[in-house]
Amino acid sequence: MIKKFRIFLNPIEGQEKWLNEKSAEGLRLSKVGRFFYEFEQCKNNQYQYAVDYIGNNSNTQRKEYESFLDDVGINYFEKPLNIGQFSFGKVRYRPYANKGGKLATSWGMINRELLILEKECNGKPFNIYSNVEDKIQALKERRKPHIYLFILFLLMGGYFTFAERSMLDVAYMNSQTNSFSNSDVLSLLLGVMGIITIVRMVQLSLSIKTLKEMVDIQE
Amino acid sequence: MKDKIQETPLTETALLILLAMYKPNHGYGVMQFVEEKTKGRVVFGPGTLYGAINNLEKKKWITLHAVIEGERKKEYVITDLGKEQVKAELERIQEVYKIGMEITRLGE
Repeated sequence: MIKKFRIFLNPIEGQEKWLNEKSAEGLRLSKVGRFFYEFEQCKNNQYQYAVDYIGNNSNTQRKEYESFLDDVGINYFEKPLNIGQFSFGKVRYRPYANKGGKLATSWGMINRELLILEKECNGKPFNIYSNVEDKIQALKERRKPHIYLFILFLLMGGYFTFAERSMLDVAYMNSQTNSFSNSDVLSLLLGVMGIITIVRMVQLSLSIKTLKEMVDIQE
Repeated sequence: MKDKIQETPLTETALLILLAMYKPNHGYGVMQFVEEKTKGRVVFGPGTLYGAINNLEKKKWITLHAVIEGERKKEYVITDLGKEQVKAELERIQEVYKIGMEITRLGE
């Protein structure tokens, strides 16, 4: 058993590419954690992988999709993705999800936002969506949490800019010796996360635009 | 709307699924049917096939026939409404095909 630690900036395409590279080296996924992956040895390129975003689904929808995958002979691993959700104890609120999926509970949709799909390699690319319209729809679903996060960051940014900055310093710790104030560090952190979110949002929008140009001539 | 015959062309995905369900069929069976009949030209992605089956069921063009192997396999079969859609689509394809042959003179 081989254990690997990995975090992805691009959890869909990035993770997909990495897993297929591992498969080319003769490694088959056996277990998935939040940041850890366990592999077993197998023949080079015996399996191929694709990553599906299902964070917009309700728990019932997820279960139905999973039994469908069982039927068509595709293996799957559930994987958490932490983006754009509020936690209240064991319940998470996802404003961008479909009907029935907005409130995610710990035994249902939480930590199951991604599905890693695995099937035996047949020499053809493993596409979860095989027509352009479905590809566009899938990208739109993935863009939703980014749009929502972007708005959230705007609001928070506004709050930190206009609210009394001293309140934050008191709330955390008194850092006279620190050259940065706590609110500066926090703003910087929010800023970086905000930029990543915007970049991903723009990337997704560009992909959607490219696909839309194809839709009139190709299915 | 529900009982009306679709005036716009069906997607190839929808047409092939409907054809695969003239006999009761489940997800894996549809995938195999399509790959075999198109000699590997069309390979459905699981997300696409799943979404299309759900949409066809919502439109009542197919209906749930049986659930087997402990809810794992859902078998669907085409409805009369679905068959009407297929007929209309084949007529449309024939019309386009005729125009194509007439203009390109490939049939001569």
